[in-house]
Amino acid sequence: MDIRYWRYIFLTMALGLLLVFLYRIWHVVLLFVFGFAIAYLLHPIVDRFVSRGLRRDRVVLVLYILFLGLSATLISLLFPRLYQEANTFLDELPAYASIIDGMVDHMNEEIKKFLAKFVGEKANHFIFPFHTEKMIEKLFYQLPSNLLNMAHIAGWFIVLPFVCYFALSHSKQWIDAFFDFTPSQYVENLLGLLAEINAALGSYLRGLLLESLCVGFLTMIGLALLGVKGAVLLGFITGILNLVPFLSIIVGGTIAMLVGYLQFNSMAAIVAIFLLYALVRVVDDFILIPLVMGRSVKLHPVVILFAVLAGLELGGFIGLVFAIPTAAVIKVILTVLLRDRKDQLMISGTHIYS
Amino acid sequence: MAFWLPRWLRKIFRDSQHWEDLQFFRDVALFYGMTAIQLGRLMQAMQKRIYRAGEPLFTEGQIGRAVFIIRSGQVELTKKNTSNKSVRLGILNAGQIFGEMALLENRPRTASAVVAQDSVIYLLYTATLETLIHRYPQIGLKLMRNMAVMLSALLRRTNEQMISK
Repeated sequence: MDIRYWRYIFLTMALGLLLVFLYRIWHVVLLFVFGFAIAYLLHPIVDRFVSRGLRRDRVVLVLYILFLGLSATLISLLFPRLYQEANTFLDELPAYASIIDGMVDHMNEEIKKFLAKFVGEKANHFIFPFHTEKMIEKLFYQLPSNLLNMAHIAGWFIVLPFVCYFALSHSKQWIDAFFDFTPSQYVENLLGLLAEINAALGSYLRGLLLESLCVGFLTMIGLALLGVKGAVLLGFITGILNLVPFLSIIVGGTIAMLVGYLQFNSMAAIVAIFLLYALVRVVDDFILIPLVMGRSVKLHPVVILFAVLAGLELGGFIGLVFAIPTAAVIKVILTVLLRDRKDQLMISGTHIYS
Repeated sequence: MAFWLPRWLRKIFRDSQHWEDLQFFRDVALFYGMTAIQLGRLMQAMQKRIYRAGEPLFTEGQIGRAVFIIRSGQVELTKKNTSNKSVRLGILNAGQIFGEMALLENRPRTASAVVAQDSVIYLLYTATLETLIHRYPQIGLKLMRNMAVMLSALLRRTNEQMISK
């Protein structure tokens, strides 16, 4: 047999073994992917200093010391409040659950009365399938496995900064090595495509995170000013939900309105919280998005919703994290390919008619 | 360099390779008139690659996505004539740029480029440059002015060549 075939067989087997190996250690691979992703999001800050003639490794070290100091300060300020709010919330949870269940029972009776006019006795079989106390019980049964995941995450927080540090300080050398390894005829086109993905995706992801941070922070301040209990926790949840368009106002807003209603027991609280969420949405749409998103790739809300649900279905929480970046990458690749095709058609058209 | 830092601290943080490269890029026609910070930002957007003699850079007809700047070495430009034979257009040396039309239009390359001598070449991708220009329009303004000057010089030279024929 030709030596070329042996080479192909050997390469395929080596690739297969590598994939099996990576699959077996996918938790470790994931850790490194996260580390590189964080480094990717943070590298423009480092580049700012490096472009002024400062050494990359030393800039990263100084920024790391500052970042760790800032994080420690923020955690020491916010964590006790978050912990206290979560504890208070857990203490008040049974009372809230019984109020909600009372409301649901009342709603069931009203619906039954209404349906009885049309279907008679059959209306007695109607029960709205929602019972908060049972839901909470189920959630607590699942807690041990959740806590184990938390221990896993704690391990991540120790290793992740190391991965991120090395990725930030050595990324330039690694990229140079990758370029040197790529066959010269592919350097311009293949890596040009990567440059396009980077240009569109980087600003999109950074913009999205910054926007969510601002939305979460604004909501937290607004809820605190309204005197709603758990303002920090609710702001945090709203900020995370903001990664998916409209979810922050629909889900985050509903949770906050429910908490507000249970705390103040008045419709005025619901109206005030609704107005606050609407105001934050207006600020987000007209100030934050134009300011931070600029000309980065834009994904349609339906595409984002589809990507998020598909990611959740395929990979759970991890799938959720990678859903939006993956959708953005696919969009950029398709845009570039279609644009190139259009350009080629235009060129051949010019050739025919000129 | 951050001049507000004390001298000993500047020494610790100074990247000597950066300043050496900066001196080189100051003399590249495309970057005339740029400040040190603007040049530094452009350098961050560029990608360096070491090429061996004989390696192809791009071929005629391929869509251009980057401009090439020769740091060291030599590059040969060729073009196919009507009888499909490669004709040498010229040899480019350190400090010269080529493929700059990719910055202006998404059209196929009009010539092929092959490395004639082991070279170190910087690539500046159009997509990366566009992001940089969006953030720092002053860089775009200077680049476009330099491009216009270069194209005008090329046009003048072509006119003179046509007249002399």
